[in-house]
Amino acid sequence: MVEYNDLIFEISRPGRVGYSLPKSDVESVDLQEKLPKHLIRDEEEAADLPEVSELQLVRHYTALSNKNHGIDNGFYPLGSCTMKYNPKINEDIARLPGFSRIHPYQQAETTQGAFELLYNLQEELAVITGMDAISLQPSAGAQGEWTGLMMVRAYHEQKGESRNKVLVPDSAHGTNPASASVAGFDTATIPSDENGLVDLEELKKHVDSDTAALMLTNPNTLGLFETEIEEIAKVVHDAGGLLYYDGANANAILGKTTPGAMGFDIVHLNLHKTFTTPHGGGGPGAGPVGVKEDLIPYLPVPRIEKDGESYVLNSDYPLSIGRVKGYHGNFGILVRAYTYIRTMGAEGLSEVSEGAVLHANYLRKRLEEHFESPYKQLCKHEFVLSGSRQKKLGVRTLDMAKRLLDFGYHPPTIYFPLNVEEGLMIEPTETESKETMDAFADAMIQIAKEVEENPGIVLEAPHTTVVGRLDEVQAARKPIVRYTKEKDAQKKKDTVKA
Amino acid sequence: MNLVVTLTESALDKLKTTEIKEEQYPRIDADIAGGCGISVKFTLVFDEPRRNDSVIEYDGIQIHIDLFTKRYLDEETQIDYNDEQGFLVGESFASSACAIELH
Ligand SMILES: Cc1ncc(COP(=O)(O)O)c(C=O)c1O
Repeated sequence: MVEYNDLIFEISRPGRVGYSLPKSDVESVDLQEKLPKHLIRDEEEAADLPEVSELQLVRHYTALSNKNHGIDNGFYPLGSCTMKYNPKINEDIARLPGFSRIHPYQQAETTQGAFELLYNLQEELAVITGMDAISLQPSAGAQGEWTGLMMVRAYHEQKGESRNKVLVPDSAHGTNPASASVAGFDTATIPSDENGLVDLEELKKHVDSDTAALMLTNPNTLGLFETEIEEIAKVVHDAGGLLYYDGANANAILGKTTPGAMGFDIVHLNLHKTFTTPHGGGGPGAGPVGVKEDLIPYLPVPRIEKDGESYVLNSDYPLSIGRVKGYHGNFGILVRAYTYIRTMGAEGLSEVSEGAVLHANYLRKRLEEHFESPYKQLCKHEFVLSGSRQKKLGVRTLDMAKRLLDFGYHPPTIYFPLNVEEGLMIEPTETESKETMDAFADAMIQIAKEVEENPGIVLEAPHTTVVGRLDEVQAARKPIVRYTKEKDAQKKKDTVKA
Repeated sequence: MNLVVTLTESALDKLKTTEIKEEQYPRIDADIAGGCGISVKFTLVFDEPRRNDSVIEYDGIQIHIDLFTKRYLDEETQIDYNDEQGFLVGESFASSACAIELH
């Protein structure tokens, strides 16, 4: 089976094909003769496509996929990412031909069911977030943020105000300040207090007549709920600024409270985190954005609306910021999220947040003795430990993360948020069993012991993976990101010599 | 790997005139920022020895480097100092598909 560790280009043999066509019953033509010379590529320019049989292709990619770590093959406590189980029924529903075989250019009368689903999803998400209207267009959390900020800009401009500053706490996800600057704002960072929460006094110092909005993640990336949330909202509103809620961590508050109830004007959700649509690997996501009534005129168009008994696309919103994504967002993903919401129901979603919070606190308690724990209060969906104690013994968080691979776990998020030294950010999610969490805690505790008694095993980890410790220095300094035949041939020669 | 650490004159001056607490030594330390891809920044700090430190002597000064940091350092590393930025160590790098600060 070694052959399937090779690149698809290495398996390739000239002339091998993965299809068979019936004998042609028309005369074949020589394209070289028929096409203008400048359109014909010579050997050098020809696309170097691999030539393999269907079975080789299937084995190659199956072998690759087996080397992957995903939710379906193991625990994945990657903090800030909500790597929870995606129920298979979502896939069944998304594959129904009425959803999978339609085209956005079809006549609206022929796709009423799809529009109804989108409309209902908008309605459900509005209830879940406490907002008045939703746009499903943004295709990720970051794009939802940007869409929200473009609406912030349009709103202030319409009122004849020029406000250029967006406030972001230092514990925010990196996309927050990034989205603000892509939307043309200056950002000001608000430091956290010793409890990891927004420092109200600092916030007051920064809020002024140039403040366009505050972007707040709640619970924040430390997994902590902002206890002064109403006061924070008041400070910003009193100064004429808007409140943007990064709802990517909604898994912790589903069915318990809403950004609307906390006084926020705009929110985005990450359907690929909270609403069980596939996540990671660069696949399509969805970051719907919701707004309170005052901001409805600025929502992206076309909007999906109900007109009597039918569903229509309406672009008649002159103040809209326009379209932010082709067609109606990532439709297949929206179908999966809607399926999740309908199969869970309101009560089920409420249990989700209870489970997520209970699990995080259970793990936190089990690990607290063995690692520094900079924030001791009850957490929401995730918590952050520090590897500072192990650092003193000459072992770093990155080493411990590599060692976790030997136990078959995806490591937690590391070195984030930036305000925690040697941070380990752990989010178990509600879909894991107690047994899984206990086994993970046992592994973490064993690693902490190894650091004290037998650090070599941690420093040289991983030992059981397909490849061992990678040379990250080389990878960072001299990355080779493209395969070329020449380079490969050279590499083989070098290996033979060595 | 044979590590060569050199100090500029200003760095050496500063080190020789800095008061260091007992039991503490100058250390080249890798500071990592992560989230999606990692970036490594080297700093000069003063702290206690760690178990697997290497110690490099330079003009009578002992500089500590832990095993982790050593892996990431270039073979030749220079330490410089200026009043605005403090100590500057070697070449820092980011390995990231989404290289902003972190995320
Ligand atoms: C709190 C928070 N905000 C924003 C984002 C960005 O979302 P996306 O990766 O979909 O752009 C994330 C991603 O995990 C997040 O955790």
